[in-house]
Amino acid sequence: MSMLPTFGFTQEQVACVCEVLQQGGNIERLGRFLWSLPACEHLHKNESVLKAKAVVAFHRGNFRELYKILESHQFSPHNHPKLQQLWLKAHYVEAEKLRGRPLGAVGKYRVRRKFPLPRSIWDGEETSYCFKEKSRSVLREWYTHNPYPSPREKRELAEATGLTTTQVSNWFKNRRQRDRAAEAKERENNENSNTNSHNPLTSSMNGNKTILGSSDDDKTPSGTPDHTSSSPALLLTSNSGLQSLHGLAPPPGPSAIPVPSADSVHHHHSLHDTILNPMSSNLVDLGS
Amino acid sequence: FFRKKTLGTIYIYIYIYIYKVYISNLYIWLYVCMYMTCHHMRACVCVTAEYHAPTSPPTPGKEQEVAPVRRSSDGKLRGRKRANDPVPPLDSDIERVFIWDLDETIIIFHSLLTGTFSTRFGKDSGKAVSLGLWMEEMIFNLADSRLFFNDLEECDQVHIDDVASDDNGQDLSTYNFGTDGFQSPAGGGTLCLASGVHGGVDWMRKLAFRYRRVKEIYNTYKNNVGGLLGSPKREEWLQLRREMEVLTDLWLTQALKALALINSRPNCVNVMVTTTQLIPALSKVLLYGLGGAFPIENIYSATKTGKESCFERVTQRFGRRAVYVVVGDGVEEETVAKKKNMPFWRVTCRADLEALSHALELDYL
Repeated sequence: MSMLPTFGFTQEQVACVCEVLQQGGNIERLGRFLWSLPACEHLHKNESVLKAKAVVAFHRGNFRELYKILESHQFSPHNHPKLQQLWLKAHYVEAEKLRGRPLGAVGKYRVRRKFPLPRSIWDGEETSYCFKEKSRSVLREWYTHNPYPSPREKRELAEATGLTTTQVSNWFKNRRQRDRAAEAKERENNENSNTNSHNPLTSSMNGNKTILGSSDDDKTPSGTPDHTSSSPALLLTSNSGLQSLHGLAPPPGPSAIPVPSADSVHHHHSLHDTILNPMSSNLVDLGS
Repeated sequence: FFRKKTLGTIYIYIYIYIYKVYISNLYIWLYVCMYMTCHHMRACVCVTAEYHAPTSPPTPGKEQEVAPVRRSSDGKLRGRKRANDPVPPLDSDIERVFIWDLDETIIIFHSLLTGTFSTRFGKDSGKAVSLGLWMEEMIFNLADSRLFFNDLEECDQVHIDDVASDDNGQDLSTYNFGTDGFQSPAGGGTLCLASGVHGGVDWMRKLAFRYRRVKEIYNTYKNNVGGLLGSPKREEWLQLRREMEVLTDLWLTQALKALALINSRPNCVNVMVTTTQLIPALSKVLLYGLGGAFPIENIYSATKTGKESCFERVTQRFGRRAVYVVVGDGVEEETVAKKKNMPFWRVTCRADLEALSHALELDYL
């Protein structure tokens, strides 16, 4: 045994040993083996070696190291499940330590949202669906042609997808509902971005000038409330365009305000009206 | 009158008492007997000619003769012996299974004949071929003369125990295999189809007898091949082996080292899955002195069903808990290993075997 330290195992042999020890659950020996490997960079970039290092880091509770390894290198798909489990488990454990008690399903969900899987160990495909991808694609295909299948068509779909008719009906009902909600949200977003396209131009002009002096009343950007305390919540619910304008802190200018907000009221959605109207009325009050 | 009666009952009590003591003594005696026989057998195993076990822990890892009996009865004998004996591990206790390929991994044979060995390693090709031919002759000679290869060539099995269910267990010490009518057309000798349909119960039984006899021969002579060959073949064989080791730079010795290391551990086993037919494979194993490393129950022939199905059998046998390491040189075993997610140790040259031994010594595998 006094012969050679690491004895020049080939990369393939190193990978084999890593695999064997991992499968056998001999993490201690695995750690020892990894430690004994020569500091050859090419060797340490080998996927099996990295996987082994990740497993060892996890077992030692060395989560920083684990995250670093998992994010640093693009792993091949057949290793993804195991590495994803390591990532998630590590985050759960950390969250549990912070919380002081075990994590329930909701807690874990929040952890997953907070620390999404890095693309190096995840192909981006959502895996948390109830129905198989095949079934879902069939249903989606059908939906684009006709969102209102007849009972007979539902039966046919059920057969084609291997689900029950109730499941198919529910899927369509939910899909229509969500599409409607998404559409509404979509429109609101569009309209918000319309106002933003006007405002950023004026605000950029003002940005230069408000620095110099506060006497430029006329150039106050439209729709911007100058004091925050009355309507912070409203500000926050409206889109980011308005928020950025708020940051410029234009001087109080009673004269300039009412007209542009009246303008914007005409263009916008009713939701927006309810936000702007109280705001403008507040400002008008101020002005007077 | 009263006295007689009580006396009688007293006598009866005494008899009963003595009887009980006698029975329990008998029991103890039987127990001790079995203990002694097993112990004796184990002592035999330790003395090996070809196969040198390294300085192993007090528990000899290899229990050749005893193990098969134990495993097949699966616990019947174990129960009694638990108190005193270190019991050999059941198949389900095994943690590492090394699945070896035979040709060109452990032994160098075919590549001698084709010349690939001599080309690759720069050896005298004429010598290589002549040694190859010599070995081939010995292999098939042994297979034909002692292992019923003539009879069994058409009825190849995957595993030595595959036809054991047709056996009736009768004593074979006086049985005459030559005249039992196995080969005659009337005996249904040609009805051995690949699909598993065989001719007649009678013929099946004779087939089973042959496999049983092969098993017996293997177990008797695996550490004493010279005895099986007898003089002058024995001397020829020894010389052939010597020359082969010289030509192959001690390839086989290196392989035996790794095999021995594995066998010395109670929780590891060696299994062989080869593409040679079973009988010639056994012949090769004996002639290359591997009998001590592989119990006959651990040898599988993949000619009929392919390696994947053999691997499947092995995993069924040892369970999911064990880690399987495939050691081989060929594409077939590599593909199957990858498919079944088993780590693969490639052997293309002697250094690979050395590395394997090293990894085992350093407790990395």
